[in-house]
Amino acid sequence: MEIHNVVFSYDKKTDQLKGVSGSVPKGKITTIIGPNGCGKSTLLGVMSGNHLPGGGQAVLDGKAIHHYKPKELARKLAVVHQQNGAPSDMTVERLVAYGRMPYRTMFGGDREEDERAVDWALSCTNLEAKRKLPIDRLSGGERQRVWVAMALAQKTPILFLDEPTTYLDIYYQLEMLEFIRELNRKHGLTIVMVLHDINQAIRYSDKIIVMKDGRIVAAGEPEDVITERAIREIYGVEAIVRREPEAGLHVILTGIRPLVRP
Amino acid sequence: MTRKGWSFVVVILLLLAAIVLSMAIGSIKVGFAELIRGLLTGTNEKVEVIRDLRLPRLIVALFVGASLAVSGVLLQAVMRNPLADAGVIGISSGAGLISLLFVTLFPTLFFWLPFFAFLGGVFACFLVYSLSWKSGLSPLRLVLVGIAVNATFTGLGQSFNYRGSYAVTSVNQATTSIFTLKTWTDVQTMLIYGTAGLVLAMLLSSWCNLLAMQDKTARNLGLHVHRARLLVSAVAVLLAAVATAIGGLIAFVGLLVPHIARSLVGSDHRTLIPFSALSGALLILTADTLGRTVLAPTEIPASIIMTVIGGPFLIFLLRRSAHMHGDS
Repeated sequence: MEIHNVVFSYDKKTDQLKGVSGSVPKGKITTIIGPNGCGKSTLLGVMSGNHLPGGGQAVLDGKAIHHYKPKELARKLAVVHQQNGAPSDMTVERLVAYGRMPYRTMFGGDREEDERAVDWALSCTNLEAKRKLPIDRLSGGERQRVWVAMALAQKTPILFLDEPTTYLDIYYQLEMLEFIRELNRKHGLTIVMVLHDINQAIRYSDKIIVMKDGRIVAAGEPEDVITERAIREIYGVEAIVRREPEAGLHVILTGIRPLVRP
Repeated sequence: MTRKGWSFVVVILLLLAAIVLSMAIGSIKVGFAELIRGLLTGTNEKVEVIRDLRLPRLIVALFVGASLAVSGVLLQAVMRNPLADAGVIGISSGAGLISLLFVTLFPTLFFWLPFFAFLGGVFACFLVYSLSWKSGLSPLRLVLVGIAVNATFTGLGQSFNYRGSYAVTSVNQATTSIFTLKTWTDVQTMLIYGTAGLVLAMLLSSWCNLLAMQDKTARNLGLHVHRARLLVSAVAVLLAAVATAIGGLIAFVGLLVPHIARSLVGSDHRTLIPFSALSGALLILTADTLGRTVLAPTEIPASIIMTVIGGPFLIFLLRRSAHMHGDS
């Protein structure tokens, strides 16, 4: 997927994205990081067809995202949003089956194929035992996995995740990230996600895109992008970037520059 | 059998019982066997009177109830708000006002009445949407704007009615709901528009399921969100408008019925819509039958009975929704 000079604004006054250009490599994990309000989620919104760009375009397979029909796009690209809502009596199975919506036709579509996709999505996310339960009986980690399963049932080559680890404790955070990596390695899914934790981004990404103030300020492999200087410039945070035998490249945050100088 | 299955069985049985009772009770009394025989043969005079007077009224009551209930379900799905109801947010009164004007100006074009009621409903719905839309629909804002729109249309309707009450009797019918003097022409109109609306609602049920989630979720599942929202709203307005044009203003059906239905059969619109239709039909038929028998020969309009039940229920709903966070 290519992004060409995308401009976007919610209120037509201040631009959240000020001419963003970049690319997402096929079959790789790409992570977008950056400070709050830098436009990470907005960029993901434009790339997933939820926001219509005011200028420029995101292009997938030679066609601008906003020229795709919704169903056609939903067969190429699935999104797991940060906040999700569904009626509380919704069962896991039924919600995951919504992932088959893009394949529905007037005459119903291929039921067996649908069933296989749902079963696959449930087994991938380890939710087979819970398939009959209503979602409000699940733990936070499980509920997040249900939304991932719904996206997987769409059987798309591309998966977007907007802060998939928010609201999860560290165990479930790692579980989710390992799982995302497995999807990429095993099934060849192209992954684009937004993360807050720099170390997690380094560890689980092939490519990191760094944003600040509605622009991409750096992009490339984690080793090239994440430096002490970069972190200072992007976040205003002092850090030591170290290569450790067990953890690999690792960032230790040491503090912020004092607002009041002595 | 599941709770869902039982709920359907019970409602259908109650509905059948209500239909039979409603046909048999009244100033003319007939036995059940006599009624059936009379309807089949057409030789019993008493049954003929029932066929001409009571049966059209019954059918209209059934369809008005079903239409209003389903209209409520659809609006609640589209606006993601349990308080959305054609009566509460002004769609019914908009439809009522326009049909009132229309009946006064062109009393002969009766068959087109629902169409003009529909235009009125669309206008009210558009007002509510556009006035409460601020990068998304805030539930509270929507209800407040809706109440204001409702008050405006109701007020206009009443002042018009007050001024014109000496002249046209049908004017009264369009604003206060009495199912008396419903003819087979009314039944025909109600059947055509009502059936169309109910069938469309069923066809749109899986869209309603998607709309109940967030816009972005629905969109990424391949739903044309704006188109879906527009179509579902249009069907909701059509149902409410027809019901208002034929049955008059009846509040709270679209609020009460879907809420109870959801707790019985769940939130899946594929079952929620037919169940609400059945329950709505049952509710209005019961209200109408009670209304014409309790104080016979005086009649209490079904709309008044519904308001008396609906008011307290709205308070109950509001108190409960204070504990809910969105819909998850």
